[in-house]
Amino acid sequence: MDSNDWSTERWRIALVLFVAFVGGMLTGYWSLSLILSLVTYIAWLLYKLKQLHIWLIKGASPSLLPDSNGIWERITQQIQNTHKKSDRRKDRMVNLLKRLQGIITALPYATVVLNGNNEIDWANGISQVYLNVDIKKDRGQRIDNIIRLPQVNKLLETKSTKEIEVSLPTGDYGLERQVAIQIIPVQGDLKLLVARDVSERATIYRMRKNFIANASHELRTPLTVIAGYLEIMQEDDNLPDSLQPAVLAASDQSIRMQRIIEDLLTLSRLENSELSDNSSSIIDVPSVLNRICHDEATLITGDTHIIEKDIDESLKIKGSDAEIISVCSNLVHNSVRHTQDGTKVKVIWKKSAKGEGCLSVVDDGQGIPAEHLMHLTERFYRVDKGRSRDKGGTGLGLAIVQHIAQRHGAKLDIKSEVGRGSTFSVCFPASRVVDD
Amino acid sequence: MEIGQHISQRYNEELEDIRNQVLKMGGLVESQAEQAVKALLESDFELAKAVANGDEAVNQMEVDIDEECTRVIARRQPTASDLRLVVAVVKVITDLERIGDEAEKIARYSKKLAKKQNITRMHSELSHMSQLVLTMLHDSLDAFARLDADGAVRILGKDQQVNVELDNLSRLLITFMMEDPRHIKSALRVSWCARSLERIADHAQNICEYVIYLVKGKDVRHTSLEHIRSKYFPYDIEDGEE
Repeated sequence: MDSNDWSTERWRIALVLFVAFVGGMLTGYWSLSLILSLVTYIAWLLYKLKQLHIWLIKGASPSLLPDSNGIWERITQQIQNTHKKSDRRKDRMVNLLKRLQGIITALPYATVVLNGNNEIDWANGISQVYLNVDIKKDRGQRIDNIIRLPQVNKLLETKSTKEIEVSLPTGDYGLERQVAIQIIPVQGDLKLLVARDVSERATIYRMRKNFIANASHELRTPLTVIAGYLEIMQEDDNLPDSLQPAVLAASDQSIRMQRIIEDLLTLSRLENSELSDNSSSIIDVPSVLNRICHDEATLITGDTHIIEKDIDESLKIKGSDAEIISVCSNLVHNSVRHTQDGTKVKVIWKKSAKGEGCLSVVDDGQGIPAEHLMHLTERFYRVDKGRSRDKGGTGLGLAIVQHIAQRHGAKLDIKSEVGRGSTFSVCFPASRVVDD
Repeated sequence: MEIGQHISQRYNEELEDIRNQVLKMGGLVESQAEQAVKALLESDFELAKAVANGDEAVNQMEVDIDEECTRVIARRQPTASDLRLVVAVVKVITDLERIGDEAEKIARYSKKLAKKQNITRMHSELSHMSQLVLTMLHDSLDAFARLDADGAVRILGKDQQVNVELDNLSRLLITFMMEDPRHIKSALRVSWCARSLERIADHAQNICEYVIYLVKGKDVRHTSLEHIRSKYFPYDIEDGEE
């Protein structure tokens, strides 16, 4: 192929030399004839070069291809091929880009690309519906100028990637949309703001919360009446002996139900309200724990369990006192209630290496199988279906503990090994610890 | 209208910063108003207390922005649209601060109302009106953020609706008071809340007028709506509703 192209060119040169030779023969001016022929050849070459140049300038379109053969044809073909290839590649890229953009646009989440100054770079279609960001008008506008909620502002300032839920107005007034917003750093200082509609979830969640609160409230009043009458009947001397056990059992159960309802109400109160700083006071946890341990050892369990204490007497924390007391008593009660007689229960209240105030209740009882551990804080979850009920638990204790721990920025940690015993610990953050 | 067109990059940043500050303040005021209304409608004592005490931040922002504006005028001697921006900002923050005050007032009344046996029928009327007002406020701040004069002029007409709502509510409250004089105290408080809401709508309207001033360079205060529309917006502005 290659030699072919050049062979045409070689033939041309041969022809030029031949013409020069013939001219020399006929006229006798050898050198003049040679110069003339060569000049003609060079002129022809230059002409071809110019044609090629003009063709390239005009955009190298195939329709304007200069007609020629030999090496010139090869060169133009080569150029054309490269052009075609890069055109195809460009098309492919454009298509890919379009498809990608189409995919992002079709996502059910509002997606806004922000640059380093929090200015809007790009947004998909649905962000107009969710966030009122119209990319045609708002490119270059700062996002916090459009979504002016203080919560979002804080998110941008602190650069946190936490997801927050806010309510934004929809187009028709009076209606609000619950939107979960998250800001994710991409590359460099580019950021992605993603928002999803969570109105439905928020409504269901609210309904569930309200239902539990209302149902507990509604049940409380009739139950008080029942328990009251049962108490009167119990004390009545005319009560036939045959009915006495029945009344006693009914009265016991009604008291248990009252406790469950109280716990449910506590839970829904914990869920519905934020812990405000005003309700925080300094709590003398050591004395609380000492009292609980004392009660537990003497009044409630008698001598069935051995209770040990390892309490740092100077460690106090800030928080809501009723709630912290509930955490302490729940954890200690649980340990005693759910272990066999003779178990050693150790209550530890100490400062951890990180400065956190840690309450741990360690027992050497039968332990809890691993598959139950993650479910323990669920409401009414029971490891052993039959057993703990007779001990008078409500099934809500750990759920309450977990909620309170969360409100105080702490975490409930449960470790257990079958046959070796369990450890329940709650560590309150260093910011809540008060040192004397 | 462009803001970022100065040779001095610093100057651009200063103007841009002022605008962002105003909108941040706007967001704060907006959420204050929203929460005040929520506290009122849901008789939420704690929330009302929080709003009533939360006016401090807004006041501080007003002072800061004011100072920043003065500094820009002194240092840069702005002209044309820059001057209009600074002047408009100074006025907008005054109105925003007043809106914050009104929100505080609503919160204070709701605190007292929340303690009383609430009168739910009064509240349903209020909820409609408050939504109207809050939407106006939100839209006017949007118009300011986007320098959208068309959007601003669209909001100007809505004030009439708020006034109609206020009239209706007053009539309703009067019947309540006549029915049972013991309601007079609460009814008056609800009436003051409605009055505050109406004031918020007026302030939102003012903000819209400043937006038109800022974009078009024409002072449209105390001018009838028809006049504004025919003179400065000869083309057809598509209407949201109405």
